[in-house]
Amino acid sequence: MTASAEALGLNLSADGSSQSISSDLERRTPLTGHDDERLAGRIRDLETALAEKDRLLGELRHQIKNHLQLMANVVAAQSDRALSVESRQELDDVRGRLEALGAVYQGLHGDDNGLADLSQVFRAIATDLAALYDPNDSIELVVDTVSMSVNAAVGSSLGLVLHELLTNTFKHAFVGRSSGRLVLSLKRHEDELLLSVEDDGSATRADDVEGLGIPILTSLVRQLGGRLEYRNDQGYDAFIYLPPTILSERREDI
Amino acid sequence: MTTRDLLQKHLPELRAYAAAMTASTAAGDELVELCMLMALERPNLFKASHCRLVLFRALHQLIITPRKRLEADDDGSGKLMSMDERALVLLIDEQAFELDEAAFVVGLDLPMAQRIHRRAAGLASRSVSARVLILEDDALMVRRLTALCRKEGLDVVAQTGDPDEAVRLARDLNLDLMLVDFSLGDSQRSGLWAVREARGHSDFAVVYVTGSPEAVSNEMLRRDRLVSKPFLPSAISFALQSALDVNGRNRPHDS
Repeated sequence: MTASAEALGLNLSADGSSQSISSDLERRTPLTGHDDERLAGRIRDLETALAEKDRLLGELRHQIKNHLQLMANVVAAQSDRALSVESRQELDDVRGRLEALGAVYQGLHGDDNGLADLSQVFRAIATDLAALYDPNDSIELVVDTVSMSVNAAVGSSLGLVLHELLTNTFKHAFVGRSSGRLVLSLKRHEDELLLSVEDDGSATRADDVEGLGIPILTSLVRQLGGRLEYRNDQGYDAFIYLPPTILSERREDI
Repeated sequence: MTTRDLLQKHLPELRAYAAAMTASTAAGDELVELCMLMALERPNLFKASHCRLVLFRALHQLIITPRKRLEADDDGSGKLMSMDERALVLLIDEQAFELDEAAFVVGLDLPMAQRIHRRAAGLASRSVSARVLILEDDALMVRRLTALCRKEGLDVVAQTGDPDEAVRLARDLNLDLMLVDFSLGDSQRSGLWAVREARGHSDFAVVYVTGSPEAVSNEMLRRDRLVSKPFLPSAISFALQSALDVNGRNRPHDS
């Protein structure tokens, strides 16, 4: 913002974003003719502080991203040295979760309050898991998601939820099959949001309850105020209903 | 055929082998020259019937002597290819030696050589895979990126955290791709600087890894690829393949 003192101090309607600062100042400081210069100086200070805050926030987000990457790398290195197939698998699962969190932070927009588009994040995670578990593309992956903005906290929870759901499906649904179909959908359903993962694979998931995936999933969904339903008819389907209050509005939407 | 003629005949393949093993044409040639001098001094050792085999074995000894210890650490972690692995892949897949001959050159018994070669062939795909240099100063990131390159069947021929060295290596290594930390170290000698400098001498595809994607211009992305940290593994795979494709460097491999 480079607006001059006249534009800000004397013509308050010139710029929407500066208006709140200016009117706030007006309330605190009684305006007299020769206060103009002090007022201009005060506005400049506030603008500097605001820019500094934005810079620090950006720096912080940058650090979080770097640290998530570092943690994923550490776990990957540990997995390389694992002595058994089981411990390697477990460490790779941990890495996968860290990478899913990373994908959420990757999706955060730098330009506003740090919101991420769930649809984008979900797509990235789904594509990545498909590349890992189905390198030959034998499973048809359908991603049908609508744009929804969430903050980093909600995004992280849902990123992990999706990661667990899809990992379970890829690991168990298509064992011994040469083809399959997996549909991931995110949409508004009546007064709620509905996230579903449906497959046409094996209907039984004996291993699920043993692993950490389902407990993580259940507690995250509960924490978000949602509920989880399973159906198994033609395959195995998971439906997660979430309250719309978890969404955040982006600045330009308001 | 005189000894000299025999040596002359094998010179090109010896040079190719030494260059690939030492990751430098200059260093490789030095060793080949040394090997040739040895052979000329003892002509009866290098008889026509098995001259090629003995030459390779002598050259291999010269190559590994100063390096063995250095490479041993990486071997244990299973990440960077060990000298034995690299040698066996080069000898069998590129120089068309039989397994027992290659084992003789490297100085391993047959079952061990077979085991190592099988593992290495799985790791590095085929010898025709694209050659990659990783410019990155974070050791853990190097390991991760190396593993991901391997998964794509690429051959990580060298790694360094020093932009100046990267430029030197790029000149010698006949690279297909450089995987670069964009904002490496100080701004004077960044990853970007190394790429620009090295491209003055040779051409290769580039994938940047960065925590600040805004620093990369659209202009650069016409032929180079960008992956932001933190990344999903598939993002790296996709960027590698895409960069190789755009630069016409994706060689078919016979898997």
